[in-house]
Amino acid sequence: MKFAVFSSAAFVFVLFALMLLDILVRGGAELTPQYFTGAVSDGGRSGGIGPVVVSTLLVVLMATAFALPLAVAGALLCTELLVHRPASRQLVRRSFEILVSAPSVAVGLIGWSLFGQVFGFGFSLFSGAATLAFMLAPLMALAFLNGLEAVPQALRSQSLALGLTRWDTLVYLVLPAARPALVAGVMLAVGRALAETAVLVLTSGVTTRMPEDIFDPGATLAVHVYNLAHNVPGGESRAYAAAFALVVVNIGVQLLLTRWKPRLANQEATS
Amino acid sequence: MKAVPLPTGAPVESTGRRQEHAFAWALVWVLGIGCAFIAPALLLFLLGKGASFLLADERATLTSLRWSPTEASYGLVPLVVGTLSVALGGLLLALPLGIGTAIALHFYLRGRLREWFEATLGVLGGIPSVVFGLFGTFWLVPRIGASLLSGVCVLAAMLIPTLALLALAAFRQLPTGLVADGLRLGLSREQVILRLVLRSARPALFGAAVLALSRGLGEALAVEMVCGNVPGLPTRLTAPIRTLTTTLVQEFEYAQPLHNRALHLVALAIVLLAALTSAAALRLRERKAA
Repeated sequence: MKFAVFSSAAFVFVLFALMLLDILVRGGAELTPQYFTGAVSDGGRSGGIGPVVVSTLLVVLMATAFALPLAVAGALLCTELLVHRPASRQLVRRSFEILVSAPSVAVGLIGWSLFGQVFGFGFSLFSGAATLAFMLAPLMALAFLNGLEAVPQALRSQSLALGLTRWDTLVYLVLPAARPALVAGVMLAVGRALAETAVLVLTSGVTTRMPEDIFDPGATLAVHVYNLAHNVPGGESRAYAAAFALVVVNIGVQLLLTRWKPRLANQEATS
Repeated sequence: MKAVPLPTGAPVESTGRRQEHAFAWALVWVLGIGCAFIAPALLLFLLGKGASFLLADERATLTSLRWSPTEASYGLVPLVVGTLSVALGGLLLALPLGIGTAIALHFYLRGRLREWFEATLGVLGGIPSVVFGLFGTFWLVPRIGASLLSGVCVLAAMLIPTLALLALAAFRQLPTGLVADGLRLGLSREQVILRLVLRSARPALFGAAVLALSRGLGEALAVEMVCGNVPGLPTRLTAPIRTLTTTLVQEFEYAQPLHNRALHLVALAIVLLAALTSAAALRLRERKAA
């Protein structure tokens, strides 16, 4: 028993250590300062990832910006507006949960049909960001929802008893109290957007030219890794380099998130 | 001093100031309802497009064993079988490793070492799935070929951190005295884990497995990179297969209208498979809570 569980744990950790080491050695060998800014040449076999970095920033930024107002409103709908209607609140929450666990490739196909074909944008950063926003909005809304629910109801009733309006209570007391959860929710969404491939292969494409505006196609970093590893013969070493950059950025976001979590817990404990 | 009555039920507020923020609240209502309606709207879109395929004559081919849109044959059976076999295979491989790792961390390690390994597991859980696809492509495919087995291994690697984290969470939820009581009754540590811990945590572990399964069913690119993408029933572990998700990725761009509608039906099938497994997990969680 002890032997069995220790060998499975050892197997798992050695496997992952080997993976990370492989990325570190083979990907790290390709990295130079010019790699992050240079143009992609020869289908990605040489050159840098400058346009990919630009596309990634644009898609992540736009998708988060599109989703943020929807997510905040969705969370407030549950915690402030439907307070006395638990049944509808539960229904709204279920709608968010369904979309968060939905297979992303199905959402990607809808995005391709809707933005790519019906609206005629084809492969574009805008279609990618808009489709991604469908997935990020409920994800962030759920995170915000949990944060807002953790704000004690007494804070709201005390403020209302002192004569503040519901809006002022929300803006000056409830939202500031829930700030760590709001920040964590946004970080969660950014991490998800950075890791997403299925949605973006179907909506913003695998092109690595420098995008001139948001209606141009453009591959994000994760999509670039996929394309180099899968579609570009001889792209192996560069795929590792891009994967190195992707993993470092993702682990960075993860670590920021775990740094926020203890503070969240503290706040719940003290309030 | 006169006592001020506390507001009961609906919040008390002056009507004059309520007007001031009427627009802001209306905006929250509209955007919030919009956000809640994303999921039903997307589902309706998928249903509408997918169902329109059922009006075409080719609907008769849906139950056939052949997916070949160029020959107007849209048999979903091999795709569903491919999806199920790769996801179940990945789960079966990941389950003992994930739960074994969680047992080792939770019951045999102490202090900083355990904290450190748990934190590492959390970070590993955040690795993008495409990275696992990359390792599958360069480690597995040259050795065992683009096949069902490669897909199973890639999915298993992807699911292990999640499963281990969920299993750890399940162990933490157990009553605190369980292990100590078992040991005091004279059971060995091994018996405590096998007979008490795994049995009491069974509903939670089953829920974790179903969650992992639904992730495996929906994973697209990591599987597409290594599974070979030849539609057909898998006869051997080393046979190339094709799943519902990989079909979408391979064919969406060049699909003609009818084929395009068939692809929406494929997407609908993925959503339904994943939803069925999630619903099962939810039922189990509720039954456990009750």
